[in-house]
Amino acid sequence: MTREETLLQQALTAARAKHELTARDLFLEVVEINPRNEIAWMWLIGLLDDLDDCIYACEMVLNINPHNGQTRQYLAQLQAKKQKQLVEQRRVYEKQVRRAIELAKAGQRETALGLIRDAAQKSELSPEAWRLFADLSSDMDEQVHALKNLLALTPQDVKARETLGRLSHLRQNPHELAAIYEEQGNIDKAIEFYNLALMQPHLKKQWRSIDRKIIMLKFRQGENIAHVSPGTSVARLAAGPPLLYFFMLLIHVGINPLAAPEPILWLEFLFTVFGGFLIAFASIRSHHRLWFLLFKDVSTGGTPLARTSMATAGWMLVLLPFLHLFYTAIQRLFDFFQHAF
Amino acid sequence: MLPLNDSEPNRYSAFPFMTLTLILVNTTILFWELSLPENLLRGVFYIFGSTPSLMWARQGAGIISTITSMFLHGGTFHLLGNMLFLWVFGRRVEDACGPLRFLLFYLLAGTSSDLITALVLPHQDIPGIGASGAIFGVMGAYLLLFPEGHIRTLWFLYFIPTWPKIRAFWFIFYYLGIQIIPAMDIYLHSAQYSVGYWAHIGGFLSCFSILLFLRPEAFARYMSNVAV
Repeated sequence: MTREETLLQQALTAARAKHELTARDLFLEVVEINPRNEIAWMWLIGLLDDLDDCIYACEMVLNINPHNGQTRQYLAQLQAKKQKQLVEQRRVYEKQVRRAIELAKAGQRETALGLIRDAAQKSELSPEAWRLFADLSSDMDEQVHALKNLLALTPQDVKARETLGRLSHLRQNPHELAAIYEEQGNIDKAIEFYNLALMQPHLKKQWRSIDRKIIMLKFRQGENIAHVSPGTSVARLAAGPPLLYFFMLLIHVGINPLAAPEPILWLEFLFTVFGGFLIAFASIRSHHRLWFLLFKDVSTGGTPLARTSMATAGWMLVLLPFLHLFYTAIQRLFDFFQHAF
Repeated sequence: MLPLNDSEPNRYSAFPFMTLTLILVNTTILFWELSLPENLLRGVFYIFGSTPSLMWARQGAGIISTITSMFLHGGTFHLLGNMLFLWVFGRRVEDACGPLRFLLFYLLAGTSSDLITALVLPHQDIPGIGASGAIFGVMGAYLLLFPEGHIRTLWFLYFIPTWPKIRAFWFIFYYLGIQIIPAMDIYLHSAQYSVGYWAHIGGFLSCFSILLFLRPEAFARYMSNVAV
């Protein structure tokens, strides 16, 4: 007697004695030894708990013996039951997604994310739900997963494709991603991605600076430093050049702007405001909405080239009014000399 | 009482590029001044020093004289004193800002000191020269950013030199304090002094603007009450 036959005998005895769990395990061992054992599969149909497993067992029986009409009939019943279950489940998850959309609109992003994450694990989502999932999640793997699913359903979605391209770029350049996390105040993630960047061969030249960053961030972890949002940093850093220009202009117009209006010089104050903003903004690495408004074609949301261009434009806008101011001052100095001598 | 050094190391950068550049530029200009005949030097001070009465009358070099006055000094000791203060207090303030932003802050402090002088003493026709207005701004910024900082200071007790480390807080307030009485004397009694006390106070007042020039991390540290 072979081992397969012995196990089958033991399984049948256990099944008849109503020892269902033992019988199921023994039948499973049998089909492991011989996947074409029809009797074992037949018994398993009745012994397995999970609907999908039962369907699989039926399919195996029909695969071995296509003329087994009773099993075919039972399989049809199981499939109908499964279909009904799926419809019911989809209805529940659709309701869950709708609730998540409402919560997201109401600003409860975390709760909405929890609901949609749960729904995505258990059911197929609509394009709108995948889009929302990508938007809500701050985890890059989840975002990529959601965007891939979204693009599978709507391949013509240009925005999703661009975002996916940008995320893929950041995945290949973990030091950029780490800098973004650092700016967002997520120090753990920043350290994780800086460590990942250390392993990238193309970043070998930056190894020392990245290593120094990691040490500083680890040091910061213990210091409980408040996070300052990139928006605040932009507003703060942008104010310096205009303030200097304002003071200088006040001196130039003899403290009293009404006595000598100099409208062009005052108009140029706006240049320094905008220029200061551009310079400050160029130093921020977060994938901020404004990057997309200004550099729609830049897949990374802020390449070094884009940032350099922005900073250069900013410096030009800032320097121009200062140069004009100095030019006016030089002219005045010549007038003064002519008057004096 | 003179500051000697601040022994705390830099946090962000190893080399105080802009502080040293400013010291170098000021020193070079003093050498140039020393090479000029006295009459010409007086003319240079008049044109390129900052004179409130000219400023109000919109005459002279205007904003150019505000900038140039920050780099002119009346003599070697004037320069040495100012540069010593700039070195002691500027190094760590520059470290917290970065060189370019530190330069902007330095110019802003100098400009602010000129503005305050012009507002308080609009009829003054003696040109103001020296970096001390801007340096008071740097000292104020130091106080704001490093309130726990300690400065090694040279004292003379009955002609015996000592150099204890004292809190920057006391040192800076001492220097600010000795500006106030003569400044009030100038304002109330039109007294004549050879020191620009109001320029010092004006520069000091601009110290709050340092918050606009700090590196993001230094600002976050400042906001968290952690050593910048």
